[in-house]
Amino acid sequence: MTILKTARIQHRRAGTYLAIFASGCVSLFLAALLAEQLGANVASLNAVLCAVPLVGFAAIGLVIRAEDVAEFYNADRAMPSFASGLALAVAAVGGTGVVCITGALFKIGMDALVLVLGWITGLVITGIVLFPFIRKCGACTVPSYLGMRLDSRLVRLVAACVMIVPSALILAAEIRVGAFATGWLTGLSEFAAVPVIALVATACVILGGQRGLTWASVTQSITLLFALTVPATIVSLLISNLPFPQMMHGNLLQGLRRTEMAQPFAALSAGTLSFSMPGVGLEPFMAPFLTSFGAVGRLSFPLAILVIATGLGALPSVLNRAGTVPTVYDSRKSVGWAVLTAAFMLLTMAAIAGFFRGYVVEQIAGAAGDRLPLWFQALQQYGHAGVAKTRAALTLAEISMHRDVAVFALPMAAGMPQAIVALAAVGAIAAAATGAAAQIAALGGILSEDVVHGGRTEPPEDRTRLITARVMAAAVGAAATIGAWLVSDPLAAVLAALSLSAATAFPVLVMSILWRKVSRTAAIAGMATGFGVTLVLMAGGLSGLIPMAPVMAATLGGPLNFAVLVIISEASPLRSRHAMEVVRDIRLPGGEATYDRDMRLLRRKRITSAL
Amino acid sequence: MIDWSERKRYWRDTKWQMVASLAPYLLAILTVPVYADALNTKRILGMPLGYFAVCHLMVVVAAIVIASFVNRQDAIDHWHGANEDP
Repeated sequence: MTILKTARIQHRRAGTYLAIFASGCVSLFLAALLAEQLGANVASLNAVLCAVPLVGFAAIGLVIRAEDVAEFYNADRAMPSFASGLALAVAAVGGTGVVCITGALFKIGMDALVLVLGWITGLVITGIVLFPFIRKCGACTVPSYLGMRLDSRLVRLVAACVMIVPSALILAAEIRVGAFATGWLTGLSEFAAVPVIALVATACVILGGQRGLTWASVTQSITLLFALTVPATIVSLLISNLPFPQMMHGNLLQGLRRTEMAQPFAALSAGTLSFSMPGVGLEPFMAPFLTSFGAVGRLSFPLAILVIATGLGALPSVLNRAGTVPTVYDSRKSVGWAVLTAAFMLLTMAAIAGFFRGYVVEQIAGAAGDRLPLWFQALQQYGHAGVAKTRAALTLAEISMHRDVAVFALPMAAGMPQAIVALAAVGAIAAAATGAAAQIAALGGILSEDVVHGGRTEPPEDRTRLITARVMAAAVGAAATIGAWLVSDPLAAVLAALSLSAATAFPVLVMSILWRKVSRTAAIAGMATGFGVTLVLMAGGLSGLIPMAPVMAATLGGPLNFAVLVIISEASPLRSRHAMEVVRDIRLPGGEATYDRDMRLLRRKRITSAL
Repeated sequence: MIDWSERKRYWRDTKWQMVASLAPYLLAILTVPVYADALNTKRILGMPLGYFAVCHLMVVVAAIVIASFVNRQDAIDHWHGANEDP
């Protein structure tokens, strides 16, 4: 009951602080609009609009400090479910989702809905199958949960090793997207912007852990939702007189369909198992917006949804959120809020893609190559767009555009003030910072708790654990800078990460809850098989030896993981009594979290032995 | 706190609730996209039906599924005395 009371107090204060932050956001944006009209220098304005939110996010993360391990890893289990859900949704979608999913929708239309459905289904699956049970267990990290559930330090270590890879890939991709948006806004090179984003994301986590991360993420979520909604709503008003972009872009598509039918596209039909998303370079439009199965095959569409969904659901950065709310019921509610928020974001992103495609078809296709609108010329100048010929009328197939500019270029195409163009970029930076910070928290926790201290019979003192966690978070932030420099296509990196996560972590996590007989040997063998097979298939696919996209590798690795898990578990001797007690305990929502009870008993034992 | 004898029945109902929530949703999300092209010839609320079904309808259904799951699972917790705040 004490925890619930604390949560209510925090909730009341949180409402005030978040209202102040939201009004600050709106005020900054209005001041920028005013300054622009008064003739302020655009470059300075962009620099201020980029710097103020970034400094604000970092300051929030640094001010909210964690005093003990419970606060650092689980935010003292006192976060309101709405705040936790909001942060979960934005961290799950991340900057890569906001920028690259919108871009993929813009470039290939309906085939990119596989990403939208994969992301939303991932949150639904994790909310129903994993989240409540991980919350009841209450462990600091996902490998710690597996270690407790299967009563094995080796399982914990193996799980930590295989879960680090997908999280690290996503972290690098998020920072890269954040750097791209920062470069777009300020003119800074992506190379120079990468350390800035990594620094801000690390600052959100290093002192406050999950506590600092949640509140920083909530403010970043407010910024993102504001930045996504404002341009989309204005365009919706301009086109349909109604401020509902999520619905109104559909009407535009009907007209778009008729126009695109007259365009000379090559007839495309993806192979049953092919999966091809647009890359980061300048690529022409290949197919009409409303055509399915041009880039993604008929069978690979549902399979890719399952891979993305299960991969997302099993990510440590997603599951770590479960421990931050007071009760199991709150954890279910927080996923509910996350699905609602993600649904709103994904529909708004689809609207942005549809609107921008409409502008390109209306203003560029059919125009002469040397008489293009100013906004398109600006994109050409920065290398984000190109045309195949300069004198005759252009067809869509002769127009090339960078995938990731759709979010930022829509306000330009609609002729909006520079402040709104900058706002869209600030939203993408906020989303990338949230996604990156969530991965840093997850990776720092895994390295500290499961790799450094995971081999010990009993965890060390709180002070030692806190110091290690902070050092690891800083190390992850520094390493991520190098990783982000190496990533060329953030969407491809995230899809590969989700494939690895789906094949490695999801089967063992689900079976550890639903099936009491899972053994430690089976878990290790299953994870190793899933990870190894998926990695080999990915390498084969990338080198061209196997005709398979990296994201589809999990369609073989995942089922093999399940099969190995079941066969070895059936053949294994009886499970330990402690493992059986843990599984019985996590299936019931009432009572103290299993991890909290173990820690309380450990503290009592230490006090008794000291006396 | 839940009685010892109720545990099995509670877990059986929880498992069925998971299946009842996920199975129809997954079936729909894997089936509807296959018919999207054919459905695009028709219109609903001014937009192509196939696009509406895959994008809007599925996302809204996801929100409804998770909301009903939270509600029904809480009811199951209460029926079996497994709820946290009696």
